[in-house]
Amino acid sequence: MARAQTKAVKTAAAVTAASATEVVADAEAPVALQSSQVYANTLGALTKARDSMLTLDWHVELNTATPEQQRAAARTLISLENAIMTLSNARLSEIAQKMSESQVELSTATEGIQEAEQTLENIVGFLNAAAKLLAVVGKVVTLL
Amino acid sequence: MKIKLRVMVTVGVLLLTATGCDDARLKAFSDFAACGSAYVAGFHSLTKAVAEAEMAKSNSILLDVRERMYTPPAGSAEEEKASQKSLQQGVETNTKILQEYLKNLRKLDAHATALGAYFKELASYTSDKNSDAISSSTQALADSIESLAPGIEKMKFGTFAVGAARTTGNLVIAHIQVKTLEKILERDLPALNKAFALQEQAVNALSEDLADSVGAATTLAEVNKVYLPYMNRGRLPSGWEAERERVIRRTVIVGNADGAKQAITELRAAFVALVENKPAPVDVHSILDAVEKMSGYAEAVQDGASSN
Repeated sequence: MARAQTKAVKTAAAVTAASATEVVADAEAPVALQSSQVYANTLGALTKARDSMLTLDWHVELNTATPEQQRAAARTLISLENAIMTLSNARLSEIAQKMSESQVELSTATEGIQEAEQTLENIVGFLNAAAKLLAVVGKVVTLL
Repeated sequence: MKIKLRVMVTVGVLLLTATGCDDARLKAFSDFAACGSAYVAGFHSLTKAVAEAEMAKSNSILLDVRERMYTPPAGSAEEEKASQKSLQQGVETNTKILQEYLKNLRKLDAHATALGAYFKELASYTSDKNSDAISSSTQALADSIESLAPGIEKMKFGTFAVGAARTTGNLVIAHIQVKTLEKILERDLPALNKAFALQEQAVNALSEDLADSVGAATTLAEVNKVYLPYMNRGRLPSGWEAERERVIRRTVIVGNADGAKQAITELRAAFVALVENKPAPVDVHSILDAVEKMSGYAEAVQDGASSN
């Protein structure tokens, strides 16, 4: 039992430590990483850590852990998930912000096509008017 | 007289050639608009699927956390209070983030709607409605000319018949339409480039989030509803077989999120080809196929999320 507990804790610790090392190494790399890379690496590390806590092996091992370890595992899992969602949300929020500006441009462009269509309708209207005028002229000519 | 005839024939040939080009170009714009509208509908399905999958994942994890928190026998009153506090903080934070996430999804949806409105106008401009209206106008014009000078319709200048004036009216309008569309394309190029780039970013982010949510929720369902009950001593819960089948079916869709990426990549490539005036710039079949995959995946995810 003690061996199982130790194994469960070691597995979690190993995953978390490895993930943390990756993130710290990225942040301290001599060549400055782009923020998108740091973001991707951090999210990847967090997801890897969380995913290991969802597996069957983890659940089985945790069944033999102490109550305090089980509660700590539960707290860690929700913290990891919330951190993952915060990062995903930040990425989406950045895109959504840029999209708001783009949306205004799209609306202006759409109005532009509507105006062009109006011009085309004017041409159709002109042709119809010309046809009517010619029809009137035709009648006048026959009267002459 | 011979020179006049040659000029008439040349004009006729040039007109027909120009018409062929204009028709093909007009069709390319029309195809692009149709594919764009289909993509926008697919994007809306995708955001809906992402919302449901995120909520399903969130619920699965919260339930797993709660289960883990209360599986050990109750400790002291202080420990119980601490557990309750942890659960409260966890669920509150999670709900807040999820609400923000859903708000952002709505903003992404609004952008797709604006893009859809653009495609709708483009489709309307290139639609048969305009050429039909023009056709009836030129018909009326030709009829008027005929009544004004009976027999004029039957007159011919070389191979060019006056009766073809009706068609010529359409040709002229098609030419005006194409020229206008070229100007519109040139004017809207920066806005559309930006919009497509953002859509591509959004689809990439959403596909990753979707794969993560579906993957996490499926793993937890597999562990908590299939494996652990099966491994534990005692009777299996009723409906275990159905649950197992559902989970197995769900694992098949986990790695299938590429349709959306393919759809936006191909639509963007079609846009570039349209701008560069390449022959047959829009591969309608391929784009619609990718959109269908995108929508099919989104539907499968929604079905799975609702059965969780």
